Amino acid sequence: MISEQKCGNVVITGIGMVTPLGDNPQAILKKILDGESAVRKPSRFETAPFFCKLSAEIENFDPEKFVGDSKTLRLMNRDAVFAVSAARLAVQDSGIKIGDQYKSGEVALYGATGLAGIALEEVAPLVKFSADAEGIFDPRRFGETALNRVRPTLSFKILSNMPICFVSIFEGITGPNAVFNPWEGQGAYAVIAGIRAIVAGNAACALVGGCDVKAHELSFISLQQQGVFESWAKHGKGCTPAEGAAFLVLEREDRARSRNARIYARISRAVSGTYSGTNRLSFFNELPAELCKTSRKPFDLEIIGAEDGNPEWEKAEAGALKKSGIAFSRKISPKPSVGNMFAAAAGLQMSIGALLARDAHDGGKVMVNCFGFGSEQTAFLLEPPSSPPQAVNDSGVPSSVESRPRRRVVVTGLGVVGPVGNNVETFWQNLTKGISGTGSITLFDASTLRVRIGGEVKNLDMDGLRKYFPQAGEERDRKVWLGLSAAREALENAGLILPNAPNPYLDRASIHVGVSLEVFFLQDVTPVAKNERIGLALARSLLTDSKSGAAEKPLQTPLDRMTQIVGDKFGINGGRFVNCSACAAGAQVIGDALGRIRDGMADVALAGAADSMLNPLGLGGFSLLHALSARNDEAESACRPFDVSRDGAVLGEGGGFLVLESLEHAKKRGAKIYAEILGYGSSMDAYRVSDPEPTGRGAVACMTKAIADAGLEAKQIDCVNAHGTGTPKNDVVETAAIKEVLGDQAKRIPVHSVKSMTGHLIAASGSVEAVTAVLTIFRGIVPPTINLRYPDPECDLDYVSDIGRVFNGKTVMSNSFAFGGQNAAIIFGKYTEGGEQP
Amino acid sequence: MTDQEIFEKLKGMLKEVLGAKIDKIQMESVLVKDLGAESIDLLDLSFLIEDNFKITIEPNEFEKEVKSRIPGGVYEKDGYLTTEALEELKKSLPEVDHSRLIPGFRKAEVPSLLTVSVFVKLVARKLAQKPS
Repeated sequence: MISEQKCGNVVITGIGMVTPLGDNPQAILKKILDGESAVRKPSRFETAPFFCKLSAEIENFDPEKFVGDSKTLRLMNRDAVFAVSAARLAVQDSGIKIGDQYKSGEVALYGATGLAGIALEEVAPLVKFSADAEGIFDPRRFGETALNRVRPTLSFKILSNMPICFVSIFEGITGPNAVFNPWEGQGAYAVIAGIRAIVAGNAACALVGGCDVKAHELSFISLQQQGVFESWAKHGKGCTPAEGAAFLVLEREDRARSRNARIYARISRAVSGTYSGTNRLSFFNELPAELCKTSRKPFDLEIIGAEDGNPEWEKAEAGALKKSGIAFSRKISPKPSVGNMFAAAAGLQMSIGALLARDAHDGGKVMVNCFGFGSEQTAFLLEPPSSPPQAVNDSGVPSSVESRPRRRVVVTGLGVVGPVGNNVETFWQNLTKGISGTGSITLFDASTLRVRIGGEVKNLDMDGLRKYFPQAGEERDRKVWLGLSAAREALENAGLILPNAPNPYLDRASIHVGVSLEVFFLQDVTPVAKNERIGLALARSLLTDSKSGAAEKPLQTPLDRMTQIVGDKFGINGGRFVNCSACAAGAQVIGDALGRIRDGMADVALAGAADSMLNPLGLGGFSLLHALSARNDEAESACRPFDVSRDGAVLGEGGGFLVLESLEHAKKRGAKIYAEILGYGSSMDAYRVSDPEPTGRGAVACMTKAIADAGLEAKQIDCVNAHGTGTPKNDVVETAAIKEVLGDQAKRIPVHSVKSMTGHLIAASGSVEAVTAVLTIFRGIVPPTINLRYPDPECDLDYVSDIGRVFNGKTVMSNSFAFGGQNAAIIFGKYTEGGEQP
Repeated sequence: MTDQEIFEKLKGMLKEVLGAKIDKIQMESVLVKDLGAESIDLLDLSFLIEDNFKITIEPNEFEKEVKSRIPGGVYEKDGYLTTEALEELKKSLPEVDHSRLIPGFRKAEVPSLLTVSVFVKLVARKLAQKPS
């Protein structure tokens, strides 16, 4: 299934790269053209256990040269350091001063991050001190000893959205945003998201790209477990993991020209494809042919090739180009020189493409192939700046982009699993009754942790799920199963699952999944805790012991795992998006799906998220930050949003999925319509990764945008499903922000937090709360905020304390604010047959 | 270890955590206001102090200490420190800005009072308690 993002007149005006071949774009290009290579024997670890013996490392990198802030740098992992440096270079290269030519909120930020950013040395104390005498992981030792041996700042290094949040802080970017993960195809989706934000008028400028660190031991273990090194075993050649970051500045062409920007290239086309199944070579398929087919005139083509050393891929790419019948003058492949930068590869390929396009003569074009691991592949076509721009209308949208009215989008299916129920019906009954789902942790021995409570999913039907999803095998990551359960219910609920065959509607549908971070299975590592070189011993034990079943039980589950299982099982092939924007992920996926259906790129989308941090590392890590309530003896009433005695969030787990559909498509197939999605807005705080911005400007911005996007006025918001975490800071800042956005209306309407019952489901919270918002409208009841006895004097809204309430309103706004400063708000509205939008 | 020796060691940690210039760090510097500390920095600093001096700092160390001295132990009400707590806190933290310790002072504001000397004293006390 191939889909095309309309590009309009979006131009590239800045590039920034931090690569194993250096950070000077012209020098990098020259080295690639000269066949110079940074690929060599790794300096930091031994390669004996690996099929692949080579990597491409960045040596002697001095980040202070770029960002000059040693205080913030110490919170940053290597991937984040590369990201902020490359982003700074790209913005400088564009000549843009954010806040000058563009307001900070007019600039969008979309980035991709990779798997396993963390270096083993940093987690080594956790491993060493949580092993018992036999090397078996002991959760009691973990809480008692190991956890006290790591700096609390470690948490900021392992959250997958952090590198991009640091970019927003360093560059002062507060516009629309998302973070994708983990492979090159998701990096290309970050570029496409930036193009879309500009074409749809949500931003005038976008910083897009990615970062990754694959040139270290832990990544090598993960990559080998996932079969990335197969070609090394078979052919003695293959993909060489690298590290680095690459970012691009995209702008509307008319704005760029009016400020006399130096333009590298115009992005004229972007086509993407999803290839399901296991045949990794099918992915090159017909994208190049598709990319060139609508061009009327012949042109001189140069190609940025995707080949990365794997001879089978090289053959496949060559075959696809041959099959397409397009003639090209030159093909340049950066990966054999720079190494494979995975999540950062699309940014790098595009940067090299931009350099070539700038020097191409009129009539020349550059094709950029972003083909890599995972199911998602994209190819872009770039034109030199000298080629004539297309005619545009007043809003800068080219006439080639259809200016039909945007399509209405409705919700036609719901699925949920959470601490108060494992299906929509039970969940809703308990939620409206004000039943708490939090309690003492039973999933593991948490007795030595400072925080021993959470919102667990009880009695998950694992046997049923295993049978239904054989693709998931022996998956150990709990959030994957939670997501599968909710996704299945949503599709069933929407009537989209056919008994014996894939549903053709789903072949064109897109799937958008939010997750937080990979689970790191400590129990796999502790058996080698006694070894002096943990990494080497770990690699040996995991990769050479065939009985360990390493391939089926990877040390880390890549973040696209759930997406791939759901996509393959139900044949959802119209784009698979993996969002890791922490606590905003579950809301952002709905916003992204909304945009895709509005634009006509899909008729149906499955959007949702799942998460579980209820494991020693998750619960322990959060408690190190003192972000959680320590009311271990009052587990059921520990989470107290807006109450004066609140002392932190309670971690929960669960999943929520929604089926989104264009109104016409829903009507055509006679689907039951729960509600309409009216508006969406996202923003960034650009403040600190550890605290919400005290004036709430980020929260205000996303709510304001959502209301404007819905075409509503503040007085038309009838209810707020608050983020309401129960931390001292969030609830005060959120209350103030709601009052600022809604004015007098804020005091008249219910504002409630379901986290008082479910706890904080992190990535899943936005989706589970979206399901709640839809049901609030559809069933006409607002669930209460429980545990609210004495409201904080600074929290002075109507929080629906203790018991639920009848709701006759037409709209609900749902807020999600993430660690790192990403914010999102969605507005749901009552759907009435034949009625206009409220 | 003398207070001065503790102070010298602390300077290095403050530099690492806050990126603060060594010559800017004084005994009376307020961490949040003068040295730009954020909540995560205070946690990080506590971690480094524990690790370097081999002592244990409890979460809410000052709160616990003050509480233990208040008859009945009522430290806060609705998030605000009680009058008794404010008086005890002045005794515990003689070096901080007492003009801020008036009714209406929130429990959550306590960290914003802390000066470098508070940590020097804390370390000195903990080291003295340690069995040698």
